[in-house]
Amino acid sequence: MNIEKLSSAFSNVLGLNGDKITDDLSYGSLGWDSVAHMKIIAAIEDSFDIMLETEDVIDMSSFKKAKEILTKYGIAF
Amino acid sequence: MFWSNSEILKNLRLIEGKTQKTYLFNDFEPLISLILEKISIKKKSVIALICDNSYLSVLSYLAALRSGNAVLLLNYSTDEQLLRELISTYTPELIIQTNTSYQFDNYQLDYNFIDGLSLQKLNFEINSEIYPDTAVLLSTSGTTGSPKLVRLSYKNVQSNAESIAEYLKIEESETAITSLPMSYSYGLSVINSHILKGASIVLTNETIAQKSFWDLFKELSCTSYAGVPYNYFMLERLRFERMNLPSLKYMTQAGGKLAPEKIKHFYEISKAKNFKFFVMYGQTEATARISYVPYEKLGEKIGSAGIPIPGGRISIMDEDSILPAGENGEVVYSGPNVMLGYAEKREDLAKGDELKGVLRTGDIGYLDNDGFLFITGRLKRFIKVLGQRVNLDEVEKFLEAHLSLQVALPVSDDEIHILIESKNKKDEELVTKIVSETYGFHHSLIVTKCIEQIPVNSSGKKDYPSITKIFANERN
Repeated sequence: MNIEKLSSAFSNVLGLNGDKITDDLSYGSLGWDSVAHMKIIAAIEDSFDIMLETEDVIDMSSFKKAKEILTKYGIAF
Repeated sequence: MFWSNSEILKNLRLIEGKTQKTYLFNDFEPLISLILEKISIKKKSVIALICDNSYLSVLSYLAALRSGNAVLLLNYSTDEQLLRELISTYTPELIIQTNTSYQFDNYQLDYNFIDGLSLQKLNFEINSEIYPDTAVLLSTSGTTGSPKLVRLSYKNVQSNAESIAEYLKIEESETAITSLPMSYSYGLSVINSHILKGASIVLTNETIAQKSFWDLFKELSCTSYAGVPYNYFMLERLRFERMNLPSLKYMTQAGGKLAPEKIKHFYEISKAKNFKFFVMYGQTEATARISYVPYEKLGEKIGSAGIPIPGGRISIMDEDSILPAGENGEVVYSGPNVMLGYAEKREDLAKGDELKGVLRTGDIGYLDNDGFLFITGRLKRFIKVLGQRVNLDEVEKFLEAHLSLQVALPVSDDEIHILIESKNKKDEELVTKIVSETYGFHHSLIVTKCIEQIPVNSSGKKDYPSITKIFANERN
C-alpha cells in the first residue's frame, strides 16, 4: 500500500510507467532534475501527510533512499 | 579589463567543486596562455564555448576574451539538436568543449592539449566580418526556431561587472558559488563581478536540490547565493530558514519577478539570520543587470525592481516622450552595459552598435516618487520560466499550426499555462508532451487544460484575463 503511494508520487511527477520506478531510479536520470525533485517532495508530503526535514529533502537521491528516509517518519514498506 | 589585468587576477581563487581543489594565479595563468596560443587567429573569429560551471570553462572564457575573438557561450546541457542548429547558424571557427564531446560536421579535432578540454576547428575559411568591439554572444532563450543572440561589447562586460561589484560591495575576501549556468547572463555576471574583485569562486554544476551543493557551500564558506524565482520557491520548500549557513553574507534574486509574499518571507529570514537580500531586475540585453533594491530599502519597497545600477538611468516612456512618476509606460534603460544589438545569423555579427546605449526593454512599469521602478507588465507577451524567456504568442502559433486546435497561453508566473479548445481530455497530456519536448521544459512546469470554447472578448479576440482566471481557479 505505502509502496504504491510512493511509486505513484514518482511516476506521476516523472510521467513514467509504474514499472520504471525501481530502487535504481536516481536523481539525474529519467527526467528527475531539480524541478522534478521539488514536485516529488511535494507529492510525497501530500500523500503521506508529513513534513520532510531539509536534510532529508536534499538527501533523497534515489527511490531506494526515499524508502529509507520515509521509514524514519514511521512509514513502513 | 578584468580578464587581462594580472594585478586583479593575482588574487583570484578558482575552486573546482568536484575535487575541492583551489587554483591560484600560478596554476591557471599558464593554462590560459596555453589555450590562448591555440585560439589566437589573425582575423577576428567566433569561438563557441560549450561550457559548464567548471575551472576549464572559466579559463577558456578568459582566454577567449583575451584573444580578441567573439565568444559564444552555450550551456553543455542544451538539447543536442538545438546546439547543432546554433553551430550551423553561426559557424564558429573554433569550438571548445569541457563537459561534452560532440563531433560537429565540417570540424576537425585538434589534439587534446589539455586534459578535459577539446578544441575543434572549422575546416574551411569563412568570409565574414565581425564587429571589432564584439566580446560575448549570449542566447536569449532556450526555444527552438531561429536562435537569437545578444551581442555584447568588451565595455558592456567590464562596466556591468563594475556596477554590480560596486552596489553589492563585493570584496576580495568573498566566495561565490555557481548556482546558475555561466552561459546565462545572470550566472555569468556572478563570475565576472567576482573575478573583477579578485575574489573566490566555487565552480559546480550541482543544484540546490542536492546535498552535495550545500556541503560545498558550508565547507568552502561561501558568502553569497544567486537564484531565479524558481530557486527561491525551492529554497522555501527546503525550509531555508532552518538551514545553518553562517558564512552567508547576502543573497540575490533576478531572472523574473518574485511574488511579493515570497520577497517578504526571505526578507524576514535575512533579518533574523543577519544576511542581506537583494531583489534585482535585468535583461541579457543589458549584459545582465539594470536595477536593484538597496537592502536597507527592501522593507518599504517590496515588489519593486529597485533603482538603476551605478552608471545607468531608467526612464518611463510612451512612443517617444518621457512620462512623469506614477505613470505606466515602457521601461527604457540607458547605460554603458546596453548591448550592441541582436544577431539572428552569422552576417549580423558584422553589425555595429545599433542601440547606442539605449534599451527599450519591452517591460511596462512606473517609477514611484522615490525613483523606484515597479514592473507591471510586458509589451509583448513573454514570460520567464526558470529564467528562460518564452514567447507566448510563438508557442500559441506553433501549437495551432501543428494541432489544428484553438490554443491560448495566458501570462503566468514560472509555469506555462495552455488552454486548448478540445473535448478530448487526452489532448491535455499530448499538448504538454509536445511543448515539453519542443521547448525543453520539464512537463511538470506545463499545465494544459481542455475547454469546450476558449473565452473571447467583444471584439472576438482571446480574452486573456478570463483565461488567466481559469487557471487561477484550478489552483485553489
